[in-house]
Amino acid sequence: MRRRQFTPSPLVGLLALLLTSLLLIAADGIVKLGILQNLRAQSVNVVTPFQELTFSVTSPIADFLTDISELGSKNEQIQRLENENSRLREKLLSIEDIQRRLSDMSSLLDISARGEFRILGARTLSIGSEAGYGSSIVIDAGSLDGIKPSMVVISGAGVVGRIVTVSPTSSVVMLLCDVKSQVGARLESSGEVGVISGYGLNQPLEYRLLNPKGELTKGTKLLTYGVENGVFNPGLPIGYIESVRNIPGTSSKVARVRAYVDFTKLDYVGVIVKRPRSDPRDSLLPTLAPTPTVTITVTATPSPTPSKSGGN
Amino acid sequence: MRVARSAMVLTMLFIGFLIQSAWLSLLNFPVVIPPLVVVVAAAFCLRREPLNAALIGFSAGIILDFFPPSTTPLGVSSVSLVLIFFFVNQVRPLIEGSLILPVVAVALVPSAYLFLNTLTRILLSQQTLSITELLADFVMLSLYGLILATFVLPVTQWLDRLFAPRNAISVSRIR
Repeated sequence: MRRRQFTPSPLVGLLALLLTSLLLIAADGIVKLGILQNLRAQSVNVVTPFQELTFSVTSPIADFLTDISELGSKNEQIQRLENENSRLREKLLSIEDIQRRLSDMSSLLDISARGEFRILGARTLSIGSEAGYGSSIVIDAGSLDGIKPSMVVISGAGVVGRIVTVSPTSSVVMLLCDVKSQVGARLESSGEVGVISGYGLNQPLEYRLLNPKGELTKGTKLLTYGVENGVFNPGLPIGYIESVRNIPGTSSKVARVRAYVDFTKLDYVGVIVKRPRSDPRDSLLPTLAPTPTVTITVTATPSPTPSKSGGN
Repeated sequence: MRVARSAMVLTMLFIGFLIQSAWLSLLNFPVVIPPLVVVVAAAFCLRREPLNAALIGFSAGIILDFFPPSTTPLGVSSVSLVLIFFFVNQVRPLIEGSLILPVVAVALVPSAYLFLNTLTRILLSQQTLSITELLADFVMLSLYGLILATFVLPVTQWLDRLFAPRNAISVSRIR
């Protein structure tokens, strides 16, 4: 005898399921049956470990896909940050530039005040070979500003050169390092007189004493030796002796001089438009700041040695 | 085998729910989370009798409403899915044999589910209707449904064959 299997009609089944669903809605959503609420609360504990496991397995893929989906926006963000970075860099450079200029002008004012001469401030427009003068600069001051040929140009550090050509709004300055430049200079200590010659923009200057038996010592400072109605004012700092060598076949010596002015980095300069009444002597020479001496004291610290007894 | 098959379907729905809630929800898909549970359920329902299809819909609805992060009253999703799956199962003879129509049918289920679910929630005063949002959801759900159905349908077919009742296999062999 075959047992008859109960198979409800699909429509009845559908209605039963719909009714069950509606009852569940009523119980959970409207009546808020306690048992269902508790079950739902407990379901968090059941499903969370599975969700955590799924998350830990799939999160690397999720991260990868998220990175891909955000590639465009990340590129935009990188671009924005790069722009901001370059803007800030420019700002920083301009601040550094302003600080450098301020320092240039401050030292220029300082030297002119100490030397008691009147200067006319000017900016360097170009550095290099100009109008056949080898090492020269062009400044933005000319005859309209009262500039005349042979006027001396200085920076905060010392002598720069002299005016050789003047136009209404600009002037050409032959630098001290120019190959044609020859300037009378005296030694700081002995007052011995000699001639400073230039050898090009990036080359040190050369100093020869007029007295061949004069002494040249490394580190000695040099100043301009001005004569009345001469081009250069007396007492303007030039540089210091870097090294001394003998001229072969003679008893004379020649000194290699490092100029105080960096001729390749000239910006603000001053043209001496009125000379001082008196010679400033050595008062314009830069004073070197004392170099701090670092003293390291080593104190021996006894290392803890464990006692064999293990006590104390 | 019928029990194993039912257990397999429930397991697949639960796995689908875990992937949807713990992975797809975190992928920042635009507009809506891809409805993996509904697509899996729809794919199984296409290979079942009408009553079984409605039962799968009921189970999927319970899973969606019962487990966190859902705050929907229990049964809301079930009502929608039972109705949809019963109807989809009625049109099954029309799409059988085609390669594309089952994919389209499965892909449209999430949108239909959204429509009915929104209606139910409005009736229960649980949701206000925003037509623009609803339209955007419809479009995206259909798109996600289409993509998911392409991958899910072959897997469910393979699993169904794997867990098919013995007598069904022997009948098919005799034929």
